[in-house]
Amino acid sequence: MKNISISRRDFMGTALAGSALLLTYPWLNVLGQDSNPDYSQRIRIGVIGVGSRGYLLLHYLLDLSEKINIEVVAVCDNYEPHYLRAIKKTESKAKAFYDYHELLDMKDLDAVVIATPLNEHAHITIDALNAGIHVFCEKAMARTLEDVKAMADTHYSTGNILQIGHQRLFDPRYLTAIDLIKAGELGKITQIRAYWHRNNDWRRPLPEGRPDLERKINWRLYKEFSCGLMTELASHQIQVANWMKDDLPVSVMGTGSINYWKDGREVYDNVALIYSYKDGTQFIFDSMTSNRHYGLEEQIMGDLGTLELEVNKRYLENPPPPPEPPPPPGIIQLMNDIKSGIFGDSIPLTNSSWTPELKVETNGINIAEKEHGFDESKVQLEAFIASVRNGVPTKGLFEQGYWASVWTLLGQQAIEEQKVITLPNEMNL
Amino acid sequence: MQVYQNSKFSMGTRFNLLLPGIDASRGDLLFSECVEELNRLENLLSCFLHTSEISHLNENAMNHPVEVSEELFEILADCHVFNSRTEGLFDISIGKAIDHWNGKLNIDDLYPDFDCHGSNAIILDEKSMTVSFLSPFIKLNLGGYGKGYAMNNIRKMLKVSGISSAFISFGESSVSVLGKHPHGEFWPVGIQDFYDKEKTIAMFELVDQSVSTSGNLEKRSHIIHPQSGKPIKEEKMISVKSISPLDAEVLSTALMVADERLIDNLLNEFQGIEIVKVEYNNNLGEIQKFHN
Repeated sequence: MKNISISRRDFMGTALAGSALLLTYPWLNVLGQDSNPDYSQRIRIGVIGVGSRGYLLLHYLLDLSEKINIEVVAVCDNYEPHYLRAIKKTESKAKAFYDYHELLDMKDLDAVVIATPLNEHAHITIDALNAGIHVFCEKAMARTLEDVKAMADTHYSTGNILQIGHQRLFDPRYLTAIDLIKAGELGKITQIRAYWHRNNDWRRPLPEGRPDLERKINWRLYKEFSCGLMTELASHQIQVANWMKDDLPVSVMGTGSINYWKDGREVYDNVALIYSYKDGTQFIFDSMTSNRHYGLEEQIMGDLGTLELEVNKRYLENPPPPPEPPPPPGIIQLMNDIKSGIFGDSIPLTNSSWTPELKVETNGINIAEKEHGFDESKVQLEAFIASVRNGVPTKGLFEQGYWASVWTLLGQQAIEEQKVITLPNEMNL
Repeated sequence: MQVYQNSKFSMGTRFNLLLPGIDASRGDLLFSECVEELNRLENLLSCFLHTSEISHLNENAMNHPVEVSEELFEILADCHVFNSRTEGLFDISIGKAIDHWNGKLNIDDLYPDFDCHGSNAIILDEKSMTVSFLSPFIKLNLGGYGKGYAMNNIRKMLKVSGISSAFISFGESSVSVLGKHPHGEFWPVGIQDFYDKEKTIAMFELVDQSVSTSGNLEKRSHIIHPQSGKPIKEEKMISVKSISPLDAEVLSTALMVADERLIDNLLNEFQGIEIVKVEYNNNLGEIQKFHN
């Protein structure tokens, strides 16, 4: 069994060219040497929405500036503290805007990174694509199915790049997992379970004396802006489930409630859903915010094996028996002495029994190793910039984000309507 | 001279059999018979196997009397006798304390008023061949007995097959021999200094005898005192030689927690034993030998 280690260097260098991973994941091609984008031209980028996630992406972009020849030329946020923070972060080199329209009007802007509250994603993305600007947009794509579809339509009609921020698509563990599944190591995948459990109120503190900012700061808690646990957390794991299963669900049912954080929030503080695939496989998802014991996991189960992706472990249903132990050295000496007709030295006793190393299978095997400092959230930005240089979208990458968002919102609909929901025709691509 | 030698994972360690003058085909046959017996005993006695008879007993004996096989009943009765003969220092009932200190369960969470009740809380009913526990704190762990019992059975099997010379080992901490070394008058077994592995600090001369050794060293304390339910702190090794592999096994465990007075009592109680005790202070071993 192989244990693939993917390093940063591999992504960017020759090691990746022609490797098996390239064939499996076309979106990695863009980072391979074969794609050979022209790095001489500096790519000009704007960042729209520099809250917690957007600020991190801004940090990554600044960090990558020299390496991949990019420049953050503009930042935008309509919340003063974030606006000021971004100016400071860019050492005032980037132009700062309150209104994203003005940012999009800038000359020679190549691309934008969008990390606003969810309900703002669609119109900003659509305006940017229509202005000839490539877009990296955080997941989930949008608050409504109509918006998700409109974003997809604009992406296809303009031909401009739209990449959705599902960083697990660039994580060596997940990429290796796909390889293992394709190689048949899990057998037939017959169930997927995922959960995301936290024990906190998911609130950001409001500035002193500004209760009016509640909905702006804590937008994740209000239906107008977000579907809470579904769009902010489930979307990641729905993407993973579909990717691992290499299929899309045919239906979803679910339920949810506010059973703990009765603090005026509108989104559920716990949800439980079942997505069904056409071969009868179920993907079971749940999320809660009043217990963190089980944390976060995606469990991929087949008749031959199991993957626990977040903890980087795989297990076999029928592990091979452990190898027989080597003979103890003292006994080997004794055997040789007897063979040679010698009485020899005394046979050493040990004070505590020799114990076998723990059976590997009991504790699982690591799926893959990440090189120190490897950050898939950063690598996905490198991939985005490489696509921008090539000027063409990477095959299959946008669709991963599209279907994750679609089935996230259909899950939300299933909970709200208490019905089994199937894919509406108009959402087909 | 040809010598047969083979190893197998068993009872949580490495079982090794060495047979002077035996060829590979005969040796393989004898070895596989031994392995079969060891597997049978693990299914009877191992509390690491959820499907073993002892695990079944541990799961249910607090709720109702559990009918057990004749063999297990006799083993538990034998353990009870050993418990009395060692004045309670050999105690199979402290499995939960052992699990606690191995990090497998948290006694403080599960049983805030945990107490070691000792083997008296195990009720053996000879008429119905049932076993029940009087306390929820009881879990039977035959770790200090099983290898000695297995050694006994393997010795018998080899003798029945006409083997007169053998060196049998479990993880090199429990060894038993048949006959003597083919080129000597006995099998020489040495105890190494824990902090200087090149140095042999004591020797046993074995003829049809067994040695078992226990140690509590390097601060990795894994010997649980049966009365306190806590690991002992002293750094020491105990090795016991006996004609009986069971006596050697049981005493090497019990003596880890015995004081001088008790060692004297045990020398009176158990015949034909030799004890080597090494106590460490600042990595220096002080050796004491006892025999009757």
